[in-house]
Amino acid sequence: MNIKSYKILVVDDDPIIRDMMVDILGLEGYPVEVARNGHEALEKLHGSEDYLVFLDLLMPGMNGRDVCEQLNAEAAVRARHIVILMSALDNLTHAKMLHVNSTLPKPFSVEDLLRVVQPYMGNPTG
Amino acid sequence: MSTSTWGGPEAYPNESYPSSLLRHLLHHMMTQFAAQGACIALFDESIEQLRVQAHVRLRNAALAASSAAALNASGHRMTIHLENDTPSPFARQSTPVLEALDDVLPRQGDLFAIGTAYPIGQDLIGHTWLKGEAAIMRHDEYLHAPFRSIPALYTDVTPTCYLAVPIHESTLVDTLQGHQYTANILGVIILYQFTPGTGFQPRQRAEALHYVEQIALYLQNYQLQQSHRRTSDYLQRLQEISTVFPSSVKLPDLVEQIYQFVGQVVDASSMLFTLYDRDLKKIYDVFAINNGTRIETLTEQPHIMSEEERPVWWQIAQQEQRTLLFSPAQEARKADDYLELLSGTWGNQQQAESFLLLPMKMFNRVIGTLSLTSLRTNAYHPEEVQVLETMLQIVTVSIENAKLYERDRQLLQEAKQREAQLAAINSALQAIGSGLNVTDLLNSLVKSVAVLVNVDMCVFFQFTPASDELFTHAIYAPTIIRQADDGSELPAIAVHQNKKEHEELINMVRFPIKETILEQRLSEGFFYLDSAQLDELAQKGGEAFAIFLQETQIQHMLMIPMSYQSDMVGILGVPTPKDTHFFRPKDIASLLAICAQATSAIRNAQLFEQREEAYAELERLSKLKDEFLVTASHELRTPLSAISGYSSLLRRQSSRISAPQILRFATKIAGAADQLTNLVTRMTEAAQMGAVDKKLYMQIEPVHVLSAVEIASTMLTFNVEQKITYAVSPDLWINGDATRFRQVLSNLLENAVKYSSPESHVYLSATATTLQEAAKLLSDGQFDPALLDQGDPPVVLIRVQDQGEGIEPADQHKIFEKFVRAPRSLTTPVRGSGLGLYISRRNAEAMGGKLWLESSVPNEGSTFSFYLPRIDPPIGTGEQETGEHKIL
Repeated sequence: MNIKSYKILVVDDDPIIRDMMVDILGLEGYPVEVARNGHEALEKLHGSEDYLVFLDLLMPGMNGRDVCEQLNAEAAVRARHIVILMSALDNLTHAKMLHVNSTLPKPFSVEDLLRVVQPYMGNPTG
Repeated sequence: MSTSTWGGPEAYPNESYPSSLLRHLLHHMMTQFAAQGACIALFDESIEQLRVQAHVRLRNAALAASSAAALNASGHRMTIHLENDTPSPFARQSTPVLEALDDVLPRQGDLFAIGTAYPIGQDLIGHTWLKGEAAIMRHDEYLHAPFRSIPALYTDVTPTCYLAVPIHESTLVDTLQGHQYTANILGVIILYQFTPGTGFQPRQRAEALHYVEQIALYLQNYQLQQSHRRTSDYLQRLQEISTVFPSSVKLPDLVEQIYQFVGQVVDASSMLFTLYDRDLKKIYDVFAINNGTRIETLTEQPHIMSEEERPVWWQIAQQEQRTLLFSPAQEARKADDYLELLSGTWGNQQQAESFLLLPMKMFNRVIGTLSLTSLRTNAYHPEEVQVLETMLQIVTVSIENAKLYERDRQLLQEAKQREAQLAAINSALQAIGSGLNVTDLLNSLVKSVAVLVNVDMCVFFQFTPASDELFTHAIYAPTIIRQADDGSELPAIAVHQNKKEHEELINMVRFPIKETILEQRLSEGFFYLDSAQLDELAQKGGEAFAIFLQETQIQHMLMIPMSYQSDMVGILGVPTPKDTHFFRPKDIASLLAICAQATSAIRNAQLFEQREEAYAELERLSKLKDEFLVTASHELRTPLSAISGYSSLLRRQSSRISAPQILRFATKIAGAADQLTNLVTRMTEAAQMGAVDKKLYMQIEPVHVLSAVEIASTMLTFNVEQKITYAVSPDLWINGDATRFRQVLSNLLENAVKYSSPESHVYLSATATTLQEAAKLLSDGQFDPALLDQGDPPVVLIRVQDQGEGIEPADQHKIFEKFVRAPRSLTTPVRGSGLGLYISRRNAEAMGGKLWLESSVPNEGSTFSFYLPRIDPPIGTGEQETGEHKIL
């Protein structure tokens, strides 16, 4: 399978979660960027890079649902990225309606996270 | 109308016979006995003498004599045919031809002149009466007879011979019945001849006696006929009068009928009709005629008197129940004794010749009397009195029947009315089950009661929760209450305002229970308040109650305390109808019954409302709890995610990572664990705070504000990216619990940080002010003015301002509740347990302060403020550095 080259983007308002994901994925050798809210995330997604996005559902201001809906409205932009929806609540059942590629419930272990990343990123290069 | 009788009886048939009849009788007897002249004297009851009623002579005595002789020769016996209703009993006789008769007028002589009366034994008539035998007498014998009282005799014709015959009352009937009966003399007939040479034969005495028997029969028959005619006439009139009052009696009709009837039966110049009402114990003169003049308007406005005012009437009519009959003019002593009966409404009747009083008896009761007077002597004969008594009996029965009928009908109507009312109340009370509230129930109660006892208004007074006052909860007064237009700003009690306003207004009418008459009488089934007692209540109660009393003009009020088991529910107030101070016992009985029913219905309604409220509160709490569980789950999962992620990272990468990296991950794990602990602690704390009204334990001491702010800012449990600045004077001290004060500060700072973007600023200030100034910042209704009752104490006002997203107006009042957070939905996350503000407010209040949201503008930021009691710096604390401190 021809693995496309993605960067990982962690979108979460909680610094603890952002730091932890950067630590885990960085140590695995993946390139990781962060966004503290929906606005920052959309800005990056509209850039030239293709991202594997870990998007937190519950954020102040623009939340994960809002980000998905904006992306879905722009098919060309949406098509370049992989979107994984995260939530600490058991409310990911309706994620299908947001046309996300996958979901990741919190809390999760390193293995849970890597199991989601690997199909898209392959084994890390570093 | 004559001053005597009104259309009274045409004649007095008892006392006289038609002269034509007497002349016929005499004529035939004269023919039979060849007499040329004849007279008849009949007994006059009133003078107890024989009075000459008729005196006749043949026009041609000679012719008559020859005719008589011829008849006698033929030997014919004449028979008197007793026929009904014929004034000419001998009409069928073909023979003899009767000759013309002449009446002998008094001017023709004083011998047996018409109208002359003879006592027994006097003159030939009186003598014949005394002897009871027929006698033949020559004129000269007559002139010298010892019974002659008149010495000289003047007469135009001098008789030669007399035949005197007594008329014996017929004894046929009485002997048949076996009675011992002495025949009375009805009268005397004298036959005489004046042609010289004529005379009566001795045998004619016996013949005459025999003949006169038939005349007696005829006279008696005539009397019987007359009597029969009158009786049947009376019977017909009685029948008429009895059909006038079949079931209902109209007084004017009744007296009119009695009046007509009496006039047809007897002579009466005056009449008085009196009724007695045994319910009201009053005597009514309802109809009176004074000497032919009717006393008008008496039936509409009867003359009313009590038993005490008519003692004689009471004695005769009610106690002795007897008929009175006497002559006031003749019996002065009786007239004096019965003066009361002979005067009054019908004028003075003392000069009347006849007076009759008849009681109207019904079983052992007397319902009235009929009094009559006449200017004639002996106007009321037993037969007529009997007829009048019969008439009164019919009238009495009619009146009593009508009364009973009326009473029954009234009772039935009342019973039906009550039944309908009770049914209406019942249905009103039953409606409670389908969701009526207490106010609706009470409104229908007061209305039903007012209609039931037919009063203008009815009020329900309810106890205040503390049971020290009563206030009006429901009022029914469709006509009385109007809006106060006296220009005062006091509440007007008006029915035409909208319902809610109206309810609020009438709720303001209140008065105390303690130390009033109510306190002593609440245990009674019911009691009355007079105007003095109402005034006293008004003085002790509010102005609204005084206005209420003035507006409604209540003078006297029935109060029915309503209690359910030992719980007082309220008092029903029913003003008594105008002019009375009491209700009838049966009305009170129905009111008590209704109140008993209403009490349990009200009780049910109250319980129902309380249960509804409790249920709504429970539902709200349950919803909050659900939200809390979701929120708490989210809040708890965040630190758990960190713990889970880092610990699995350590395990996976343990061989590849450096010691500093391990330390950093371990620190992150510890931080997340702290956050988790903190969350759990707060939840426990909120749970321990328990109910809002539970008193919190506080360790009150002087606390330095600046130090507390510095400590609190370092207590923040997560990384703060915003710039926090604070302006706190170092000489500010509060009186409070140091730990809780810091908790409040850190909670407000945490919230400020959480709700705003990393680039924004958070600003904290503390200033010295007073309670009154601080209170101005509170919106209406948030501040309790009672706090200022004890002066205007100094306070420290602390404000925490952020530049965050703000709080929706709809959420602003909710954020201080347990478990509730500002988020509009779960998709807009806010970090925190949702317990912070609730705990902070409880703490601030427990320290004698208050915490509130001063302002909040969406996307511009919010300001949370609180104040606490300010105190002077404790002795020994130096002046500290003032200035802006930058924490991060």
